[in-house]
Amino acid sequence: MTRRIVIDPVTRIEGHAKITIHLDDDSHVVDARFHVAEFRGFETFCAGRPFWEMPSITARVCGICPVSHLIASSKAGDALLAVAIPSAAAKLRRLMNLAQIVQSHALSFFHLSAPDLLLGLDSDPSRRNVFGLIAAEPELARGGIRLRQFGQEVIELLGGRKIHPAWSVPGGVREPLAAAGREHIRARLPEAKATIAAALARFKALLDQFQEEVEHFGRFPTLFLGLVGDDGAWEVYDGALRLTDSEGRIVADNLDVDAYRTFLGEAVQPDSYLKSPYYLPLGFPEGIYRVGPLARLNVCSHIGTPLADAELKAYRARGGRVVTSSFWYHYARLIEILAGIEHIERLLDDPDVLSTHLRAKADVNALEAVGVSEAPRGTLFHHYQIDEHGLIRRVNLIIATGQNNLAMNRTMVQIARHYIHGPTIPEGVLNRLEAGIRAFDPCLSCSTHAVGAMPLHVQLVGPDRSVLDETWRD
Amino acid sequence: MRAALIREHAEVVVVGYGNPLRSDDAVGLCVAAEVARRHRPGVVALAVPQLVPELSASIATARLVVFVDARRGAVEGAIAVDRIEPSETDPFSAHASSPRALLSMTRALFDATPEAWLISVPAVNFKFGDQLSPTARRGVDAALVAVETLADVATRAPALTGL
Repeated sequence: MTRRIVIDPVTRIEGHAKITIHLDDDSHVVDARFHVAEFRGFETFCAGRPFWEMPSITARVCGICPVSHLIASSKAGDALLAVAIPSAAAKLRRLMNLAQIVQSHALSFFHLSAPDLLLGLDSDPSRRNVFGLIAAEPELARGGIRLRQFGQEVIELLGGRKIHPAWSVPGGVREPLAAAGREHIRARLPEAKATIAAALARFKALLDQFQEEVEHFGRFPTLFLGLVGDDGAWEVYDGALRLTDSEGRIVADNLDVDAYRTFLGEAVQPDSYLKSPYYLPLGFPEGIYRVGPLARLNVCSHIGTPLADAELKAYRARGGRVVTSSFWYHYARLIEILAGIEHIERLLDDPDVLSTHLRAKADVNALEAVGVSEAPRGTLFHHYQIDEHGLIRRVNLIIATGQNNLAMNRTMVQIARHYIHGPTIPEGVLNRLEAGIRAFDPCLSCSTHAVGAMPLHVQLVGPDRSVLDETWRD
Repeated sequence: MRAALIREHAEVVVVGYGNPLRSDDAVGLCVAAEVARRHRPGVVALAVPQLVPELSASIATARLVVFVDARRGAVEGAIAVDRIEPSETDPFSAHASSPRALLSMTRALFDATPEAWLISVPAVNFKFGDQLSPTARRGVDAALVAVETLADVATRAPALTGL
């Protein structure tokens, strides 16, 4: 008789999901699935709206990474206008996107995953949270809180508010950075650098304790997708799309984002609202690829700032030129925070960031466009078709978390097969399943355009599809 | 808001929170916006969608924190002004918390317990919209009076030690 384990809801992730684990008659894991049971439908209700409104509408897909949607949407809008935006506007958008990566990664590491990493995956669940972290590691917890605040403040100084700033628009940005704002950001850089240096040192010292998790938390070959700069450098705002494999070979480079449908397919699964994009030339599911911090560090040749490049060198010395374990998303995330801080510092030294020439003005000059940027969780695509009056006819959003869907499912199978031996799930194993998902830092509100906070539900399912065991957590 | 952000170490922090697209739920945001517009020395107003963890860093150095929120079912026309203390039992997440839980986090992280009050403003309409009901509009006026009174007392009192 087949049996099934259900984990519902998955905790400490952005959104609401459940996991089911299918067992055979001998209680061996035969399959595991990550289900996202929420739906919002932004792509539908945006139809009919003026494309000028899309940055501020789509920013409301998410309260954690609204800037990502703001940037990708604005870039699509630039292309509809067929304008090259002023260089200062591009630099300020880049600055805001870097701040977004810093604050979002800080949330993921310090608030959501650090309790597992620093207190232990088998530690007392009642203490395995941010308050437990504060008690055990007060300096690190305080630094993490202030690091996120730093990123949020940069966003607020540019956009006027932390959440859903209506600042980046087709053609550029609305407001300049004030000199006082620049100095405020500068003054906070040393503390931000010190915090991430301490976190990196702490994580690297801990990594050897997690060898089993490194081995079984989503360690398998896939493709990796991300933007790179002209010289192959780490890139989050512009640049070219690159796809590499697990051997480090470039599978495709300078991909034409306007033709993304020629290289990306979007599969739909019957048990989840989360789409499953794949690399079309390899088919489904062989075209599985990963995006986000791990992928960005795999596809780039270097980062381009001294401290982050030194950390990247150490990362590759330890994990290899291409890292395939999804547990290393945490490590990659910390290096990206450092890269973000250093790139912010560099941008602040550019006198152009105080320029008030920020917007190119034009009317509709194209009826279809795609905007691409790197969100904290990976590459983000906004594809709009409009009529001659600028009204939206069709929208397609390809979200980072969706692009990791196949990898998250495969990660669940790998963790379940390694840790589950019988028809019940010990708490520590339950937490490992959740932690396997958390490593990807999924944002399900974004990826399904769904409402709500994110708890977890795990089900253990038998061969006859009966539920043998299930656990819920809020 | 941008100017307020740069002015750190305010004596009084007013935190209005709610959803600006849910009609009366925005009442706390409206109060915070008006407080910010008045530019009272030593007073900073923050209008935020939710009480997130990093707010603890913003309120840790204040002498007085005043939270302003909408409350369904309150007696119409009567705001409630309650002294609040940190609570470790109130729910807390990376996205949202209660004022008491935020105070608890502030105490745990920064060893700071600012005097704190919660002003609850009567609200009757939480449907989609960006307009306040007459009930909530009256509550804004009353809440502003309460904020001014609390700020008067706090800024006249001798400085607290240990913050």
